[in-house]
Amino acid sequence: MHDFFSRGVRVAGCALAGVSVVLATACNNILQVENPQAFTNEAANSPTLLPAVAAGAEGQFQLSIATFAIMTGMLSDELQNTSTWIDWKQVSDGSITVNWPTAGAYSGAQDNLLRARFDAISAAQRFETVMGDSAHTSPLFIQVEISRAWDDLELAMGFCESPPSPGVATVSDAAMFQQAYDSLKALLPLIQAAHFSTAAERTARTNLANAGLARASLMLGKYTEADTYAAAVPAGYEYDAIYSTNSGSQNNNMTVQGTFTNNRSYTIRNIWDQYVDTLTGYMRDPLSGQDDPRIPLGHDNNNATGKWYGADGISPFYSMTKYINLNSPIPITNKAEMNLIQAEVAWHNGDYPTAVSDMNVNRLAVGLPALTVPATNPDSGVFNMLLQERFATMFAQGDRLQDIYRFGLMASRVGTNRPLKLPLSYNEEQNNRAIGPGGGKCPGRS
Amino acid sequence: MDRLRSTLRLRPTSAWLVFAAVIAALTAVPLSTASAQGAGVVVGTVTERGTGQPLQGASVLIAGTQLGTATDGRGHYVIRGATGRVTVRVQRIGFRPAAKTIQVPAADSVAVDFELSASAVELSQVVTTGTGGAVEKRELGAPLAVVDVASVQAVKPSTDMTQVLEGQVAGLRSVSVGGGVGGAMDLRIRGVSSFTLDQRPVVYIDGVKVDNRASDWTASLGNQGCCNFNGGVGEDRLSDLNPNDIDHIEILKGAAAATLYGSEASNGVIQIFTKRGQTDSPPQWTIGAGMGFDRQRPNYPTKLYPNFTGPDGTRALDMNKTLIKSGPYGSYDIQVRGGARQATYYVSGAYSDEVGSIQPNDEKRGNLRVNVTWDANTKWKFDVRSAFDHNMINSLQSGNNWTSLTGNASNGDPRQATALRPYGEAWVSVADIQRMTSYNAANHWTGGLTINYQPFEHFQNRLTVGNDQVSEAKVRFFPPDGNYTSAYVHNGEKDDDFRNQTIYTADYLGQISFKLPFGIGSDFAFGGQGYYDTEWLSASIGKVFAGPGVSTVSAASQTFGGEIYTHQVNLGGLVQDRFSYGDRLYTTVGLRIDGNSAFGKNYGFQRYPKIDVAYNLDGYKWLPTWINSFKLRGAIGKAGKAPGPYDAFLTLAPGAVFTNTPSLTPSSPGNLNLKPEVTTEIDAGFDAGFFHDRLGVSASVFKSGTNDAILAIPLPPSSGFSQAQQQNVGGIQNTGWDLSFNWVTIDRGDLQISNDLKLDGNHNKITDLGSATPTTSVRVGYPVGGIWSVAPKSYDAGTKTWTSTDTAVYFGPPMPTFDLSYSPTVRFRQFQAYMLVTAARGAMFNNADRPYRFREHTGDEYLKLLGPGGADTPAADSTVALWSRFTDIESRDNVELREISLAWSVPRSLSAFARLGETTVTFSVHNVMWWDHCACQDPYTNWAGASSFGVSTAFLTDPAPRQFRLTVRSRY
Repeated sequence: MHDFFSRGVRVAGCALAGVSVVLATACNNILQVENPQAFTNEAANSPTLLPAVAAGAEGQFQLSIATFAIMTGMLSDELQNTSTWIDWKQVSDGSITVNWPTAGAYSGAQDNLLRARFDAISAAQRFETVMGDSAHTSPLFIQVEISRAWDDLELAMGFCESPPSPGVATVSDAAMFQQAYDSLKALLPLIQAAHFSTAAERTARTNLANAGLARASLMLGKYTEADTYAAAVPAGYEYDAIYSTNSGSQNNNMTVQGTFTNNRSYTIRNIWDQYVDTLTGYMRDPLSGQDDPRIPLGHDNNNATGKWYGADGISPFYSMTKYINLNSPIPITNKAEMNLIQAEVAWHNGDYPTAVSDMNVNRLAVGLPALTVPATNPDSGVFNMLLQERFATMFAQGDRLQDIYRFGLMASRVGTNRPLKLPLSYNEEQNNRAIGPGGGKCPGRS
Repeated sequence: MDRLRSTLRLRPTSAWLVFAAVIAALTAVPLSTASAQGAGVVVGTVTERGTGQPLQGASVLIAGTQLGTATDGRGHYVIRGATGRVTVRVQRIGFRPAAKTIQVPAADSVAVDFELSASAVELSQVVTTGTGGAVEKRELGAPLAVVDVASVQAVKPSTDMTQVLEGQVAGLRSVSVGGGVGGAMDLRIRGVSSFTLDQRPVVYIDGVKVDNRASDWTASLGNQGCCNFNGGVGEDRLSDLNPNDIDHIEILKGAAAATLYGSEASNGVIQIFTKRGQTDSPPQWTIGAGMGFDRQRPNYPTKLYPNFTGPDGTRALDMNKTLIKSGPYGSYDIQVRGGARQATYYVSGAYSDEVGSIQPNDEKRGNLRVNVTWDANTKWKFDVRSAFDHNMINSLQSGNNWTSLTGNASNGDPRQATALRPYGEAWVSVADIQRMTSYNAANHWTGGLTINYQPFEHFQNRLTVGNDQVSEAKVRFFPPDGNYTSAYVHNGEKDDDFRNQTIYTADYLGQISFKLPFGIGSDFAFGGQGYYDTEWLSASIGKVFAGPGVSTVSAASQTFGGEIYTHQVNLGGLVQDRFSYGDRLYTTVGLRIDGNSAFGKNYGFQRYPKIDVAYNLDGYKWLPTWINSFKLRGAIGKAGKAPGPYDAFLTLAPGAVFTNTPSLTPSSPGNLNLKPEVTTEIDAGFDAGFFHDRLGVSASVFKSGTNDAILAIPLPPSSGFSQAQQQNVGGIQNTGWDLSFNWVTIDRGDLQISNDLKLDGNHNKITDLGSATPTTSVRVGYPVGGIWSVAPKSYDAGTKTWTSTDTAVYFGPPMPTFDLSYSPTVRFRQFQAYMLVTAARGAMFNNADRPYRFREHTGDEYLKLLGPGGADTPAADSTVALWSRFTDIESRDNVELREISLAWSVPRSLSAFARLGETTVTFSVHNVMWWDHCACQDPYTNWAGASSFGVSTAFLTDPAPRQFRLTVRSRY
């Protein structure tokens, strides 16, 4: 018995030792695997990959514009929900519930911008890590820093509050405009000092910074600066959010959700129905009665009303054909906006002829008749023209909500007891420890 | 497309070549070289007491040796190599074991016959899963259930493995959750133990880990231009198996029992044992054929549709009368088993073709299996298995899907019916959906080799190596001349997605038995187990065709592609000792240590200890005579669940922006400290036999806690990373019980009645969220996946708006807190009747269909509220306003008549007349009828099929197939 026991123990011991040796030898590093579809943080510090890091920061900003434009448009007098999604309907109806169990669609709009901003911040830090002191004269650094500033600018345009940097408490939209303004202003000398390979690249970045400064200055009431920066942007300039058909995530979501051949989930708000020409498929310019080529609307030739139904099956729907293709670009800013900024500055200054003249540059370019200064009540008359021109020129680009908000038009044009801007993202509120659940402070209501 | 199908069907599997080589090597060895020369032979017959019917598949063993076999169809067995005084033991599930000690002269034979009595108690049954070697159940302190699949198939023939398990084990949930024929089933044990990881038990077939995926995988390919194929409903790879190949299944119910399986076992373990041949048995053929049909219950809310006409005068159709059809079913299977002196074989083939009631939807499956054993001598034993399955599923368009077939019809507005859209279809016309092609074609090979080596009487070694390989294609085609604009498809689309999963398993176990002082017995086991799991997914998508006539991706004007590769390695070592004191007290102490490639770099190896105790009271004089056996048991043990393959990695994801420019953006924050979820379970209970083992009762209470459950902690969007960080911060607790009664009520020769009742209860709650911020639906003190929603408060008829509660209200858990299954069986002479009734209560779900229909101003419920001429009424306005704002939370409580069957054993005279062997004819109906409280088609459905985390919402789903079957089986 004892002999057997000891033999058994010896056999077991030998077997265990054998197994251990075999495992130790054969299994060295066997528990290490690689992920072939992503880069590790360390691998991304390769100089070869830095252009892709910069492109990621700017590209994500551009991709975020479509959803941002839908959500801000639906809260304003621009767009209206026709989907079957409750959270879209809430934004459109202005009845966003505070405690909706999951993040509403508006959260996605802000989340995308916040993440794009983080991409820019982390990209800039990576450049400093890899390039050292030379980072700040790198065109890549300029590229991501401008993107960061524009992220802030759009956050200010759509949301009543936003965290000004990762993981911190929120500040007001006015503070976000100021941050964007400060960032862009600080960038101007860096752009001049950066080692761009061509003059055209430097010019492109300068124009984008000036356009951002013009908009931020306008929103901050710095009218003289706004006029100066807007004037510095050359004719024909445009900076677009670029989409593609290469994958679903790169599609223009405004096309995906707003066209008849796609999802039919939003359309132009029905207060504009009276101006829609259901024969030609354009909204008529209220100021002239002519079709406005800036607002094309697909229509149903087989229906007397010219309308289809939305995805919900009951809401009348015009197809939003400004973005007809899944890769149609969305203008983020352009010279036409700059003209209107200059017009607005002139209106503020009581220079109505200049204001109308600036607006007419845009109108004549699209074949609409020129406006004239009204003989009576020119201040309100020019203001109405300005409001309408901003609507038409920047239709479905994500700018309308800020106009409705800053001119105090939510109650009169859309309805009472509506949020004045989109609230803080639910995801940011829940997961940002500097804010916490229930920490959102706004928006006020109309 | 046809070419693709034929390629899949004919593609050679290299593993078959390996298998062929092994078989050739085995058969090349002359059987006469075995060392049985001069040894004795034990022969005999095993029959059922009372009826005298031969018992097939009874296990006959020479105690203390590797010598053994199973009885053939005549109840015969032959065991060679035994000499001297030996004990012959016989056992079969459902019968009381028997043993006889005999003297076997050298070079002579001895006949030993056995008569087994029906028994409701299984304590003497030998099991092997998670036990560190073969052991009788009476020695186990941990909960382990056994399903005799051959017996289940005899009373309710099924072609689906997970369907076989329905109602068979207390605490095991196996239910259809939608998706028509070929849709996956929800399979889980003892509730929910994870926030983020898959809830399915790990599944082994004859010791080889197999693919148990049941969820859709096309969505994993992300933004490659495609989408969920079937609205989230996946195919179930366990459905590839042929249930007729399965002998029995052992189920480890939780962590306390599954410790030796380490970092993959916290959801329990299912081990499937396939059939083998018998030594010294002539070929025995079994031929089966089934026919029947599927026909869905007509309970869709479109019965009022024919009361309405559309703008072109078309009268709307009721889909209950037009889309529900009888889908034909046919199945054919053949098995042959037998063996020579030292080698056995089991070879089978099967083919089944099931057409769903809502079409197009069908499943065609072919199976081949070869199992060979070779007892080289008394020390070496080899077992080789090879199984190939081809499963072709034309998937029902269902689930969260623009092209959901019944969803488009039942959400249609009958007032918009036209000749081309007679249901007033919501998005895509039924006719166009029916013109789509959508199928999943899978080749599935599982092969394994097990070598048993017993150099000494008390020292055994077992090595199993195996491979499970799935190669599946998921293909969808939108014809270019169809109108699929609502599904974002213009001028056609072709999606070809491929998945290849390969799992390699290696498992060694050594066991030494010896005696310690004071009469203590010791079975010491040690070993190691490893697996390597790789998955490769790819997609090619073609959009916009020039016109009808072409259907390949290359023929499209826009093409896209995507690819994902994951791999994971797990290595574990184990030691265990089972101590016995006399024939009553057994205790097992064990430890498993695992390393896994998915653990964070800063985390090392994970230890999983266990201890269990079993104490048998039978034989005590003070025990009443009506108690035949009584085992008290208790166990505590840990088991784990490894994180996802790359969850620990901080990564930047490549993409494209500005049309074609490569980009890199932060993707996963990673976690260097990530470790497996470890569940600790305490289980206590008893297994007892009463009244001459006519009544078997098994009861367990358990409490399991997962203290480091992985929570996906979202970072604030301002801090980047589109993916949440996986952190081991959560706590989950399951407390529950399960109870089963198996009562052989009457056993009088011609008449046998048995009643089987199984009940279980489970309460799940979150005990800790660590640093995670509670969300509306994830809160300490409430179940994982609890159902929460804001609730309506009041209605303002003037503004037609509802007000809601300020905060979300808790409605209930997503899983039942109580389950019951009751199955009586009556056998009278040649007839056997069987019924399975199940009940579940406690679960709630988001019945998303109902509000959706109201928002679309359609469905019977809405239409009933309209006034004359379809005019709006205050009730209609109020209800539309209600469901435009709120989700509809309803109860899943139900009672279901899940199965009825009647079997007839054809008299010999008749079967011989038809030149048939021993023949049984069975008529059965599956998913017969159910009663529930919800405004839904089936209270079990969820839109994500068998996904663990889509369980709380039903949307555009379809009930489980209702199947009518006539099956004939004949044995020669």
